[in-house]
Amino acid sequence: MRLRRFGRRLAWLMAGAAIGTTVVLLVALLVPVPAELWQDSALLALPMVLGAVLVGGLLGLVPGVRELEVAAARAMLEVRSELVVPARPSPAHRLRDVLLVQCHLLLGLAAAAGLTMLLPYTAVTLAALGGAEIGPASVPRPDGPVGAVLLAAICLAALAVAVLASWPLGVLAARIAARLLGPTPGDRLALALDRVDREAERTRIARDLHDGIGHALTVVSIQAAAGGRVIDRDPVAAQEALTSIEHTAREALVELDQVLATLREDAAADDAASAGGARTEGASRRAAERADGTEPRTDGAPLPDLDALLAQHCRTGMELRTHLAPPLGLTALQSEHLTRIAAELLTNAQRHGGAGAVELELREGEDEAGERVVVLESRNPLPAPVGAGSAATDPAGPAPAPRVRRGGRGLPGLRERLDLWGGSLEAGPHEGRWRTRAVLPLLTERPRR
Amino acid sequence: MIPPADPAPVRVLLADDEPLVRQGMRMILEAEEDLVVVGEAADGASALDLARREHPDLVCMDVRMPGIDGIRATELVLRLPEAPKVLVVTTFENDGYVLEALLAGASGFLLKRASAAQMVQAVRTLAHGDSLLFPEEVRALLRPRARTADHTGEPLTPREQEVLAAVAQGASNAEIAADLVVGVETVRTHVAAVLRKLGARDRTQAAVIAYRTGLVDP
Repeated sequence: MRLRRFGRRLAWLMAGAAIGTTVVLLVALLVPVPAELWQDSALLALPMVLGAVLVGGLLGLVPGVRELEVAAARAMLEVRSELVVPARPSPAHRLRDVLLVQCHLLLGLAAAAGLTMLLPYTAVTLAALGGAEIGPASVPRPDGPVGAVLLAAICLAALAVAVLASWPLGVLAARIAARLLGPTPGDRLALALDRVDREAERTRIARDLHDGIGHALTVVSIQAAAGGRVIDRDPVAAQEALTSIEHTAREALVELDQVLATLREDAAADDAASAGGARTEGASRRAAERADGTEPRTDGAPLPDLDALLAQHCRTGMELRTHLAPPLGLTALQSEHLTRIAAELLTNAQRHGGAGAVELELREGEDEAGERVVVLESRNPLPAPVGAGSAATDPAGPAPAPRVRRGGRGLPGLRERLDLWGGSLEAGPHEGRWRTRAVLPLLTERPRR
Repeated sequence: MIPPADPAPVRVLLADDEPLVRQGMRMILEAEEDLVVVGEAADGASALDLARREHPDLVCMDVRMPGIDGIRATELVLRLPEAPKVLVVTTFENDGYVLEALLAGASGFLLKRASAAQMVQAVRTLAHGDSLLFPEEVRALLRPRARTADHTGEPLTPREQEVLAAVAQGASNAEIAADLVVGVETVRTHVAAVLRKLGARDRTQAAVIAYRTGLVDP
């Protein structure tokens, strides 16, 4: 086990040595050195190698090197700690890449130096001992057999030491790689922000469950208790209680469906992020999005989340007609919000609208000032009037019909969301249908020069 | 269960912003001959209004209401002359509202998931005030607030101290009398003295004050 680890780390060092040697040779060829300096090659060798390694570190700037080094650190150095492949490398990441390549070359050359110098020397000495007439005159030739055996032993011991010296070098390499490939302070911040986001989302879901499902179950339990209490004396009242229970439970199921959909979305996002072993990657990208507020969509499929949402509503039996023309270059952040707004619009239409088709339109437009905006609009049939209740004829109005849960997100929540973007919301009857229109300034990728 | 000594029905005011909850509670309470619902309020402000006009014996107060919430409404209702008792009604036991309500002066609390029988029982217990509602829960809720205040009023006699401890444990006057081997009348006098010395409006508030001042360990 240990031997295998040693072997792998030795292989990592040898890879560094191979590239390091090439770099040193290249530098030696390319740098003009005055002939007299070559006289004392020992004096020249060390600065030459160090200079070459410094230059060779620039290899760290080659795209893909970080991925390679992360893979190598995992497979060969057996680094277990968290390693980061940033979606958008920061200067800190690049500096670390350069430092790591330099360390890789240097450690590799150091390990190789011991081996390459001692291996031939040992071989020559052993051959000379065997009586072969090779090698330089400086090879010592002991007189007696005892001396010969002693010399052979010293040679082999030196070779063993040279090999074993790679052991601490390998350990050192693993430490350095873990440090340089691990999360930077910026990555840690992004991770922390990511966790805060998740926490906030969890809190929101908990609140939704409390407000929606908890409230509905309260109504159900009290109405059931009341119905049971009066069923003998007042069957009509008991019947009404049952009707309330039925309605409330049904609404709660719709709501539960939405909460579960949110949870599934989150789980899917988590899976996507953890696939490939770079959970930090998502965090880095999110931090990058936060930094400049825009993340151009490069995948050809516009608003995949919206598609899933629409499919979901169709499955629940909604007759849905869509006219979707998402503006090109919509940012991921904004498309995510558009999807959530669409979810709210469709839910309102489903909950409060009359029977019939629901239309959803997404298009680019211009506001009064001529600025580009995104328009998301839903149109649904007006509901049949319920009794004399005026609130019930307001299919998406903020004044809830009696059986609508309180404290939910609804239109006020939607307004808040739009305010955040500097957008607006209008809702009201339009050409015999109920129209809810959300307008928000278009955010696209920044023009590139 | 109906105390024969109290023929006048208990007048109850319901405050909850959900009409279906109010309507359900009304059905449950009005099915009892000794209880009558005298009004319904959808928020704290109208609860206060109705309490002032209808003089209920007891208000069933939802904690989460728009505008003036149940906690604040409890405080305001309790400042009225001849204030009714407040039974705080909440969806969840552990959301902090119950403790706040008790500190605001509520005489007891009830979970909305309670059965019809428990609901009726809670209203009767509070209205007649002869024992404490959920003594164990009150004790647990007040544990983190133990000894956060000082008792500055008239000191309690050792006997009153004993009676207070029993009250906090939820014992009725008859139980305390049997325990201390004295008459129920004597216990009633002691309890009255304890409430007066603590400035408590009822047994629940006596227990709350006892725990907070360290007169009784929660």
